[in-house]
Formats: sequence, structure tokens, C-alpha cells
Amino acid sequence: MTRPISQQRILNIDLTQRKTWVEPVPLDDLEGLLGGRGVAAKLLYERTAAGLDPLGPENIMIFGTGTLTGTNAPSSGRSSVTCKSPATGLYLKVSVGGHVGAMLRYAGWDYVVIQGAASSPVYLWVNNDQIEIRDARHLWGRGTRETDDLIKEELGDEAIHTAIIGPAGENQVLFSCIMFSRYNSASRGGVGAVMGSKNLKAIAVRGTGGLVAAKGQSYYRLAAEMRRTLAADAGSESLYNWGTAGSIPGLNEMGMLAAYNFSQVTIDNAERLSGQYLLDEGYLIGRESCFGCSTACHRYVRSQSHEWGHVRDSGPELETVLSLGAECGITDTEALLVANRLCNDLGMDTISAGHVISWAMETYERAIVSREETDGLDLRFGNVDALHSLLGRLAYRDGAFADLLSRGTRQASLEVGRDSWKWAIQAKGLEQSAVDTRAAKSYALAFAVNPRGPDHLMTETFAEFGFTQESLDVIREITGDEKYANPRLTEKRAEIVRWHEDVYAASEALGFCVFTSTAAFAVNPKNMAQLFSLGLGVPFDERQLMLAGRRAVTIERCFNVREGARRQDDLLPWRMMNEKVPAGANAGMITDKEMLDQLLDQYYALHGWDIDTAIPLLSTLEQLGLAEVCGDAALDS
Amino acid sequence: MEAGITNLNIDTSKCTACHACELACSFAKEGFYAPTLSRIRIVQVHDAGLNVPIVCVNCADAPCIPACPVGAVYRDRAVPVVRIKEEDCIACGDCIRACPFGAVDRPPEKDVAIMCDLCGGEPACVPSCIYGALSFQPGGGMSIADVKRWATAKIIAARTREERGGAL
Amino acid sequence: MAQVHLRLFGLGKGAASKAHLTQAIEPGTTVSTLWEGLRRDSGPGDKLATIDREGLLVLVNGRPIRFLAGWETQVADNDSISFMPKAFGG
Repeated sequence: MTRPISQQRILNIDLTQRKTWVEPVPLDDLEGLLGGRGVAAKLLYERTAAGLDPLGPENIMIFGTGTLTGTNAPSSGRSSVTCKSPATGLYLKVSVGGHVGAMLRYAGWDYVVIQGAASSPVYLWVNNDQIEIRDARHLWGRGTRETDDLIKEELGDEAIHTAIIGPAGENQVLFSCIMFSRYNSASRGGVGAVMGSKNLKAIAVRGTGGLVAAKGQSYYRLAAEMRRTLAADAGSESLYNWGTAGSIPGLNEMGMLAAYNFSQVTIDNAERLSGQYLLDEGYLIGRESCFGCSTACHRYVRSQSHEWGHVRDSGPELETVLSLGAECGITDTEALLVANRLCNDLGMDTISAGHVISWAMETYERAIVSREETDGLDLRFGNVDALHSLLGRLAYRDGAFADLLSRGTRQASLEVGRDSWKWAIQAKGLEQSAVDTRAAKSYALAFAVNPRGPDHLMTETFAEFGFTQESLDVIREITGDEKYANPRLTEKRAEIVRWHEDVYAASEALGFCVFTSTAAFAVNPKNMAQLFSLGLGVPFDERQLMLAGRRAVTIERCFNVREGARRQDDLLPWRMMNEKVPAGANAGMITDKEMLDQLLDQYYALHGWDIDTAIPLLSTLEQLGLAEVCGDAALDS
Repeated sequence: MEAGITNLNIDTSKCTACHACELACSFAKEGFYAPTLSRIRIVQVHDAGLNVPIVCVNCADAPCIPACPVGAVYRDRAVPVVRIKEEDCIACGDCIRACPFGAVDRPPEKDVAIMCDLCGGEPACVPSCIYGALSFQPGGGMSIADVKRWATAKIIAARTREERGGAL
Repeated sequence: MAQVHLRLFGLGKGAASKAHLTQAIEPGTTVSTLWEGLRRDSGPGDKLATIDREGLLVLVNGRPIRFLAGWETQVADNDSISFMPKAFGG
């Protein structure tokens, strides 16, 4: 079918009853929440009750696309998966690239909401408006790549796109992921485990319809111009050249490269982890784009010596070379490619898998656990064999120690005890991204208040480094002075985080990759609002766009409040709050409780949330028009 | 440059499968976004890290022309291009089967065969390709050797996958 | 004689090229002077010769020069100055 992009549709699937039904999304909701991440937040809030078991049938999974996905808006092909997280018990939105989102949109769907659980393994086949729940028992147990091949063969179509869990998701590993279009990971918070708990092996999509922008020519022209501006951005170019791991040399020189479970901030031979090295040494054999993207930051690599195994696969990304590389004391490129490929194929989040292992290594090196207790693995830092072996076992929870680790560092460290929770680099139950939150204060605040846990993928405040003129301009716009583009300052952090929250949420709701609006700035609130207006044929401005982003962030907070989360849960990992940066340019820095409390006070006040509990005030919700949606979570003022 | 041939210059090594060309083409031809209505299609070959734009290359001895039972496929001397007169097309699929490159398609939602006509000399896809995988000069394009290399990319990639049994 | 350590990344013939040099300095030597010196001595095909200052990340003892005195930052004995093309990541 060919439809105007203002007419959004939800495909609902009940896997228990094997029923499907369709609902429209009111235009009001699009104007108030933009779509994607925003509408998904409202759906999750309204369709779930507090206290449900994330691995039980009442959890729902919302596969969302962007309101501009499938048009020529640059890098607008991102999608999201929203549900309650089994790792944290809190709100979970994961963003992902690839092409599934665009395919769904051409098939006539903007959201696929899955509830219940199938009684045996199934996969969903969305073939335009023909929906089938198909037997997946022959696929269960297989890796994600093999499953993609088999589904395409079975359905007789090489051009379909898939979202697939591997053995890790099937075994409900709490950091299992979903692989989209083969190369892209919907990673964090155990989203793969939720899919596994529903006995849903995969979603396959074929969409042959089209999308119409209301003011077609004007929309096309503005989007094409934005695409050209983005392509000319130096940041876009560096991402194309070297991928996200291109920042490794800079991080190491600045003493911000997380290594040895964040006990160090530099590592020898760091360049072997870099995107530049992948290019120069011939590991890079291709670059992949998400749908509609002109940056192509994704890598496609091939191993050479095959010392640790054969690899022809996507990645690795920056966070991966840190978590599976430096954090585990490993700088061997070939070893890293194999580790990344294992995570891709078994379906595991590299950030958490890496940090679970680096925690285990530190625990072992401190003789807190013996080799007997680690299922016989010699978990010294730098032991590649142990890393690879453990990755394989984690996916199958094979062995008592692997089974323990598969629940994440929070649970593992609480069970092992003996202070080992002090070096679990996690908060809320989610392992932290490898950004030194002792040395970058906007990041510290954003990570502490992130509803899904301490990472950069709900809100990333890259502009606070002031590396480019555009980022200085943004900081000046937010704070009045570009001097605040300084990660060491604690002033104005709340304002910086808030602007980034709103822009991040709005970008994701429309389908934009956040690199375009918060690392490069070619996509901005003004032109996003213009595209929305031209695309849907409604008046719409920047102020409305920022408010829509604000609403998404507010609903996400209300969900957590409803689950019992309060101010005391907005924390950083213990090490970031209690151990100073040990060396390098940032030596001595820390984000301790006193400093974090200061930042939180400013943040909650700015947001109109109660300072003691972090609960949004009812008046705040009323101002945003959210009293009916999530007023039950509010604090009466 | 062989006389009488004009086609897009395709550098498969630069294609990242972003599909911007498909969006530009369907928008130019139909006024909306629908890759299945694009006259240029991207084929991704996994395990080879290869992405190949598939599009009509205006063969000198185009087999689609004699394949058409109603003469709807013809060589237009302007530009010049091989093209389809959509009003005369009976959607029998013979030209689709005749094309060795898979460059002719029949969209699920339109009852005709479609092929690239270079947009009358200013192909819409070219400016949309940020990576430079597509370029066009009037009267220029890929030589026969280039076309063979481009076509071989697809075959090699398919064979790579087969040899490796589809496994990593 | 006072000297500084120059650390260059991706400014030679490959993106992953690395060079560590020590350089004698006079009092008052700035980052700018050091950079111009490197440019003068660069080989054919070195990225050093073509890259714009705007495209460079420059650190003195690990700190971006923007937080010091920019290109006019003076360097002292045993300082480490790193130069590399800017890169995004995340």
C-alpha cells in the first residue's frame, strides 16, 4: 500500500492467542510525541501495569520506526525496541539501525506491538499486510547469521529484512540482543531475552508499498539539502573513514580510554584497537549504511592471520573495542574481531558482555574467585582464550559461573560478595558505557539520570567537549556562553543535559540517527520541525518539536517512578563515584556523591521534578499535557 | 568509450547500500518513496561485504528489445537509452527474463515492466549518492570491460557465499 | 637543553601512522611554532602537509589546547604534545 506519512498504523500481535489486529495512531499523538520513541513510550506506559515480570507474557515489545523513516530525510532509517528490561526492571528503549524499519513502513506498519508468549518457538512473517506466525522450531538454537540465511531461503526472498535473536536470547541471558538486518544490534538491557521469553525467534519483513510526503517537492528538496550539509560535515567524514573506533587514538592520548575494568585510563598498543588500524592493515573490506544514511559508519571486516578464527562480519564499534578489548586487557586485533563476531552470531550486547567479563577478570585477579569457581577458566586480564571461551559459554549459560555472569554484573557481584560490587561498572543493573564519567560532567549527569541505566544511548552530550565550532555554537545557544563547553565544569550541566535529552528523543522519534543532531549538527530542531511540517502537511515548529521530545523523556521517567525508582537510584557505578582517575590529564578527577547530588538538584529543579524523590510534579505533567497519560505517577504538589 | 553506448558509471566498491538512489528514483518517477518502484535496485551480498547497484546499462545488443512480443522495448536515440513504452507494456515478463543483469523489474504494485531511462539525461539518482558510487556524463559511462567487472561482482559474491557454505 | 615529546597520529602516510619525536625547544616556543616546524619537515604524501588546523585535535599533556591558550599555548621542558586528525566516535 502507498500511504501518506501522517497516517500511522499499529500492528498488534498476541502470541498467546495467535491473534493480530490493527489500530491507527491519532494525528494528535504524532503532533504531541512525533512518533517512534515518543509514541512507544506512551504505548508501553498505557499497556503495562507496574510490577510485571519482564520475562513473563505480560511484558510487551514495541518495535517502532521513525515518522520520517523511508523518505529521503538523511540518516532517518533508525528503529527502536521498547519494553520493560529484565536486567534493570525499568524502562528500556533500544535504538537500532539497519533496514527493518524502512521495510516495515513500506509494508504499511509504523509499530509492531507484541504481547503474550507463544507456546513453542515461532517467527513472525510480515509480508505487507499478510501476517503469519510461523513455526521456528527448526531455527531455534541457531546463530543469527544462519537463521537469516534459512529464513530468506524458506521465504524465497533475498531482499527481506529480519530481526533475529541468537542462542543468548533463547537462553534469556540478561544482556542478549536482537540483530537487525544482520549487521545491526538492538543491544542493551536484555531486549533479546524478552524476545526469547516470548518464544519469538525472529521477525521477517517484506514491504513493497510507498510513502507520500504531503508537500512532496519541498520536502524532497529540504531533505536533499540536509543530506548534502551532513555529508560535508567533518565528523561525518571521519566516521566514514574510520568508523566509531576512529576516536581511539584521541581517547588514549587524553587519558580517557577505559582499560582493565576501568581501573586504568590508557593502554599500550591502543592503536591496534583503532578504526585507523582496521583501514591501514587491510582488515576493512567494506562500509555499510543504515537505510538512507550518507555517513556509513559501520565497518565490514575480514580477519587475516585467522590466528583466533575466521571472521567476515560487521563491526567492531568503539564501545566494542573498549569493552571486549581494552577493558579485558586485550589489544590483539584478530582476537577482537573474533570476540565481536561471537557476540554478533550468538546475539549478545558487546558492552555488557565485555564488562561482565572484565568484572570477572578483576575478581579473579584479586583472588576473590578461584579457577575452580570460574568453571576452570583462567580469567587473567589479557587471556584471549578465556575471553572467547567464556563468550561461548555465556550464550548457553553453560557452567555455574557462566550462568551467574549471564545475569549481569549487579547480580553476579551481589552473589559473589566480598566487595566485588565495588568494581562492577554498572548502575541500575546495566553495565556502563566506557566513557569516563569522572572526567565529563554532563555525561556523568546524563548517565546517572538515564532511565535505562548509565549509558550514552538515551542522551549523549558530546557537545560538552567543544571539539567543533558547531558544538560550541550549540553550547552557547543552550547556556549563553561557549566557555561552558568544558567537560570539567559542573555549572550549566543540567541545561546541557536537558537540551540533549529533548533533541535526542525528538531525533529518535523521527527516525534520525543521533550522530546527525548531537555529534554533527546538520540535523537540528529547526529543520527537523520543518521536515515534520512538510511531511505531514501540518503547521509545526521548533518549540513544538522540543516539547514532544520532553514528553517522551517525561513518560519514561514516570514509568520508572511507577516501578518504584527514586532519586537514590540515579547513580553512577561505584568506581566512578569513589575512585579517582588514576593517571593522565584527568588524574584526580571524580564524580563523588556530593558533586552528583549538586548536579541532580539542578537537574530535577530544571525539570520540575521533586528534588528529594525525583518524581515529576503533577503541575509539570499538566503543563506538558501528560496528566491523563501518566498523571498517576506524579507527586501532588 | 564504445560508440553509441551511454550508461551510468557504477563503482560497486563505494556502494554502502544506503538506498538513497532508490528513493531519488522512485520520487522522480512516481512522486513518492517506494524502492520497489525504483529503476535502480541495490543487491546486498552478505559474507562478501559487497553491495551492487543493479540498473539498465543500455547494452549495444540489448536482448530485452527482441524479447518483447509487442515492441514496447525500444532504443530511443535521444540520450541514447533502451527504454520501455509503459502504455504498450502487457507485463508478460519476457524482457525481465531476457536481461542478463536483472535490471528490468515488475513492481508488485504496478502492472508494467520498468527500467531506467536515465531521466532524459539528468539521472536523479546521481546527486543522491553521497559516496560517489554513481556518476554520469552525457555520451559516457561504463565500457564493456567495466560492465563485465560490474556484473562479475555479483557473480563472484554469490560464489563466495556458496563456497563457504553460507557459514562464517 | 629543554625538550618536548611530539606524538603524531595519522599524519604520516597512513591513517594509523604513528610517530614519536623529541624536539629541543627555546623558551616561549608555542604549539603553533612546533606545528609549523613539523609541516616544514613533512615528507611527500604525508597528511601533515595537507591537513587544516581546524581538522586537528591538539593536546598538551593530554589536554585539548582549547582549554589552555589555544595555538599560542607555550610548551615547557618534558611536555608531551599530541597531534591527530579529529575523529568522532560513540
